[in-house]
Amino acid sequence: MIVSMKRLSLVALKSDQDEILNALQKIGTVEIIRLADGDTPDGETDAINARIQRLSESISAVKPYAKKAGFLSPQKREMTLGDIRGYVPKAAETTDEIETLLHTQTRLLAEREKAVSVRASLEPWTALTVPMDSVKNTSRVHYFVGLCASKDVQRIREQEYLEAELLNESATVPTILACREDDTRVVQNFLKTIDWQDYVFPKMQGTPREAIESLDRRIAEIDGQYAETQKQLEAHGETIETLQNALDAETIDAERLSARGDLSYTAHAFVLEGWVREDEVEKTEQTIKSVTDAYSFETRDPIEGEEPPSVVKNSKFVKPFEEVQTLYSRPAYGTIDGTPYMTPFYILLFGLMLSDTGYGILLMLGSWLYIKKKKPTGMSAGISRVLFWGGLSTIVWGVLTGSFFGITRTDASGGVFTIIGQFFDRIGIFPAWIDPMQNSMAMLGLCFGLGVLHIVAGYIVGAIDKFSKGDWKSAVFDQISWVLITLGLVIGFLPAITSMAGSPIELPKAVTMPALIAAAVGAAMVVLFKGREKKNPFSRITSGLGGLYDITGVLSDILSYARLFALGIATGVIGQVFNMLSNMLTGSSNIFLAILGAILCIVLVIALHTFNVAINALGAFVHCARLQYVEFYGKFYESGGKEFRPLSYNTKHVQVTK
Amino acid sequence: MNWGAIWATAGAVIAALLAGIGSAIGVGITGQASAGVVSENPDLSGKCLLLQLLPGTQGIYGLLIAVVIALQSGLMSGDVSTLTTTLGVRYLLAGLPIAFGGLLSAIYQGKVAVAGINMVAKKPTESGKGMVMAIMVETYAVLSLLISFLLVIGIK
Repeated sequence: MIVSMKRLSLVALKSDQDEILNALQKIGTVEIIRLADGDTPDGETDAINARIQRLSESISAVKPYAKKAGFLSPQKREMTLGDIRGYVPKAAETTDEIETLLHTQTRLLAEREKAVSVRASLEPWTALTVPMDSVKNTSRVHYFVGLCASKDVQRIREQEYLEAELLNESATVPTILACREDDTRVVQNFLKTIDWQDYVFPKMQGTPREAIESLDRRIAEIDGQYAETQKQLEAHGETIETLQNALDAETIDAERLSARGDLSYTAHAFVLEGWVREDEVEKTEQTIKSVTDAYSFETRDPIEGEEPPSVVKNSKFVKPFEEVQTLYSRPAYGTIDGTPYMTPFYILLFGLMLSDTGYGILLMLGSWLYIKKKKPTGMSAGISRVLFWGGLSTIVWGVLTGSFFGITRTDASGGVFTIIGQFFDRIGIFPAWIDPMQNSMAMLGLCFGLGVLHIVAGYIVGAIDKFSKGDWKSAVFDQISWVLITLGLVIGFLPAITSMAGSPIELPKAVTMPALIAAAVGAAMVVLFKGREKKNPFSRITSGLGGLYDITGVLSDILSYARLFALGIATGVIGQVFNMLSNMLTGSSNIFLAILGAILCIVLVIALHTFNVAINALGAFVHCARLQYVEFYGKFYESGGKEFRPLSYNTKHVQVTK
Repeated sequence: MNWGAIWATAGAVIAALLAGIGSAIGVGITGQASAGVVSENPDLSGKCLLLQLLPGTQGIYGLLIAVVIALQSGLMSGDVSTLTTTLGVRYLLAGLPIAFGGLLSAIYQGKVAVAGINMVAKKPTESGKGMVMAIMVETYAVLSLLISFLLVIGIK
């Protein structure tokens, strides 16, 4: 059911503003509409956002060193707002420490990189036996230091005004040239004609070899310091909870502060406009009353042109399935919430796609454990409950179709699997209904049958919705007409279709004739009234005939349910293949090999079946969702609702308790 | 030479081979996209993994048909004396839908899933929609699987 929304106008004194926003955030019932235009710069908000940014960066810096949360520990810690606020000062200190460490590390890394590159550039000069700073120009002598390509070495030697010191033989030869001060210009010009690259010695003491040694010592020192800061950073891994608590506390405050920017102000009062659920108006007003008496609280229905957020309300059982609907789209405000109608079909069809008692038990137990231990919130809370009910349905379908971890009545995997299969055969009620491997046509027929049911239910839901809005024409001509066509054709042609499939279902003429007549009536309704808005009778009929063409759409919708059968088979047969593979490891005549084989077989069976149930549950979840979105919702649902985002405690790590 | 057994083996081989290649390509390209997104935001690895898994099912369907062909035709038990050439060719033909349907749908599903992963990078809350888009492509792999299965089972 879609909840009616009320537009709220609240006027109160500026002096009560913070307290009122605090109270509203705590109950989380009001989505504030932005009244102010443009961003009003606000020192307080900027400061808190900067703190949030720094906290997030610190958290990601120490996250690799934090103790991993246990696989089954709760998703969020339960704490009060006061508790987590208490962590803010400590977290600020920790953030400073972590930032200092990170800065130190960056500085050390930069220094190390520089030392390494200087060391590399000195490497060719180790043959120089005099201190580097002794190679400097005097009033009489000018030095040139550089790297010369080996092909030009001969040309240097040929210049009589040059004294050359060649330090080693390689592709580029480290060279020191000396000349008389007067010849400087000549040498410079000469050097331009050869492959010469100037080199400047780093400002360091001693010979290049000594400099390299001192750089090596420095690099080792830097590595030591880096390791030290790294150790300190790793030690901060245990502060992650403090940081996370503080982050959530600051986020809560930041959202409230930024909400202030959405209000509009007079000299002494503020105006808050927002959306409230109709059933929470009372609670909201009480909350404000508890803060102050000086207020004006008015609500009204949304008017034409306004788009209130879309919120759905359902029983506890149906609620988790809202998440499946949200994955598609929220219903547009004022239309129909599909969740309660989709839920039974979702459970039914999900189970049919897995249809294995063993996998159903695994899925049910797994999601039950997850809900109990992990205490998920939000979307994962919904999805895990959907899987729980899906698991139950899978168990039931597994009994009906006779599959237990891929083992069937006619199992041929050998070993213990076949023995279990023979046991199923003996008790005779497993499968309790259809064996899809032996009787695939019947199973396929069942899937199509469920599809017809699902599609017709979609049309009927749409018809009821339109009747309740007083639009009987749409209800009858656009919805009921298609119920008549679909059911009429299916029942009318059932004997013909089933006889093609090899196991005819005979229906008396007294049933098939009226069905076909009903289909004809439905078709006539579509042809005559589909284009009822059009005045021109010719274009009206044309539009009606075009509408009748949708019958191909209905046909392909029904065929789409073949996936139920195919996915069911896929789960079962793959399970069987895995059993067969595992069984190949057993049966050695050597006792040791036999024991080893049995152990490996057990390990393999567990691993393979876990994989199979995971991938097929994913497939069943998404394929089942698709059947709802396309085949079912296509008949009545109007998507495009806006999410309701009340001012509330939006936390990542902590579940705020009262 | 038992041509029946050879054709039937060819049917099993082509089903597992082509569908497997398709899934390998599909899962491969989605894996590359996932790695890119996860390097920016490691928290999204779960969502990306789900999307990466989707094009992997075709390979499983191909394996399934291959095993069913092998079981049904007697390749598994070793008794292929009654396998005529006609029967063998029927097994081969029955394997073709999932072979080619699987090959191409896995590649295209992979491409859609890559787009979905890119969407997750920008809007992490919308991963469900990306999955639904990818599953639309998988429909045709499922239909191929169905017809291959029915045809193989139908060979007596």
